[in-house]
Amino acid sequence: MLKPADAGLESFFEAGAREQAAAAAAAGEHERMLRFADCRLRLRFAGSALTDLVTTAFAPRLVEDSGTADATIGLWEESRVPGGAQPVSWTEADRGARGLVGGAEGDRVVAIHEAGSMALTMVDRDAGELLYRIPDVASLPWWERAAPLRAALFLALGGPHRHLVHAGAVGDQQRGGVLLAGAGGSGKTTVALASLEAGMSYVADDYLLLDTEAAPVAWNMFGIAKLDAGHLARFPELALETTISAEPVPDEKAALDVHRVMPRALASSLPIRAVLVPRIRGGHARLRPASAGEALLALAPSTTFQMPFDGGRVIGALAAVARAVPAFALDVGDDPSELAEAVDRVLDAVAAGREPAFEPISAGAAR
Amino acid sequence: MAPKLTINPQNVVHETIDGETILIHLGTGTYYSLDGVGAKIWGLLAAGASQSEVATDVASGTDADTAAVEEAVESLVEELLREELLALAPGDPAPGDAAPADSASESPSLLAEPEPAVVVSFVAPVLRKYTDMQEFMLVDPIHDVDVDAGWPHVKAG
Repeated sequence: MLKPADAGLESFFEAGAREQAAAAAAAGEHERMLRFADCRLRLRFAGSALTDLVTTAFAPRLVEDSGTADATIGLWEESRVPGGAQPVSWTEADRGARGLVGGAEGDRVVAIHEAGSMALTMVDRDAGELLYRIPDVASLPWWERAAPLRAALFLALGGPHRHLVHAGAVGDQQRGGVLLAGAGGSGKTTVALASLEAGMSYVADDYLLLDTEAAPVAWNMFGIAKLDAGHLARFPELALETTISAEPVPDEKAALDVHRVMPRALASSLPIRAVLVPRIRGGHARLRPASAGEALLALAPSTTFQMPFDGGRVIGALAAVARAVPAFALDVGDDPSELAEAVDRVLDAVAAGREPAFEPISAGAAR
Repeated sequence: MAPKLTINPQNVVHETIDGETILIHLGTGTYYSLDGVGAKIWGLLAAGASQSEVATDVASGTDADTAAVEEAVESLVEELLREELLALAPGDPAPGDAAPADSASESPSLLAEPEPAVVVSFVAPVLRKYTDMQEFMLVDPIHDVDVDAGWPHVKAG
């Protein structure tokens, strides 16, 4: 791994902060405050285009800008820098997993230079300051538009008991929620959308903040769900509310702004009562018993490989969740309404301290 | 002279939960699971046991003969080394010895006073390997880079 001193990370961070200030002076400075659980982040933007993009993605988390922030993120576009942005001080070969530059224990400054989006995230751990630079808003890939700042939030919000996790969460305030665990394509979004359509509360379909200090709690991060072609076909009413780029790239997902379209369904947080591991099967939906190991197998690798910036330490917290609540597998069938029934069965059963029924769910039994 | 074994500390994270072990190799994007006797063997290795100590411990709780258990443990250790989940510890080999490994939750107590044994049928351990997430470890898709300007310049359009 490249040593920070060799990459000039600390001086690059300082130059980046000056660059952001110059871009803000030229394009106009905008500030917004976001709140995630008990953590407040102040965002300082250069220009309105980036402000609008990020504000839309984090609309549910916007709060009045009062008091102090736990961390500050300076955001700007390279295209807005008078005289041009400074080139990075490292090479492609210096970048580790997911674009990590530096990052050894004790490094003050860490950089994450992501593939595809070329978004550059830097953190000065001592100062609690972060920087987020992108080439320009117009060229930002769809996935970064729908869920921006993931690396920055991982670094800013993560702690011994708080983790950015690749998972979904749905449920209701009375019974709590289920944590939807699995890799991309496993059915997390399908179950989340089915639950949303059935009137349940939605925290996330893809990324959330997991608090494990006491009983696990899932916190909302983004207001946008991402729907692929299969989701659009399964959920035609929700599909009507989605947007997609004017010239979508292959496999681009459509964005459903849950916060705008169904604001009352979006929950800030839900206590987690069970882990649900969906898997696409066809036929009728069906719950099956699952071991804590299966839950961890569904939770830990996808989170760790997508965001390996803490050296995989998140696995300990995820194991604690898998030990704390029961786990069930969910065969995702063809009828979305059966999936909401499955979530209902789990939450009812856990609340009553019993096992849910494991026979196949027929559409007639669904809500 | 048995070599000292250690968990690959730079690249491997692991947890054992209800008798199932999940192992993640951060360098390759591959993850693994072990259960039954395999999870027990991993727990003993993580606690610092040598290969021979592991075989002795495992054999004492099963109906298999010692030679069969030794062969199964050796085979699993070789596979764990091949997958770079285990590494040979630096330093001189020591007979029946092992380097301290990082802690694993629910590790069996190493060579503690034997518990009243429940003898079970021996089932050779199987290391399940999952490679579906290796794509996350690719540094940079070639097609995203402007071939004329080079990295980190993104291809226009």
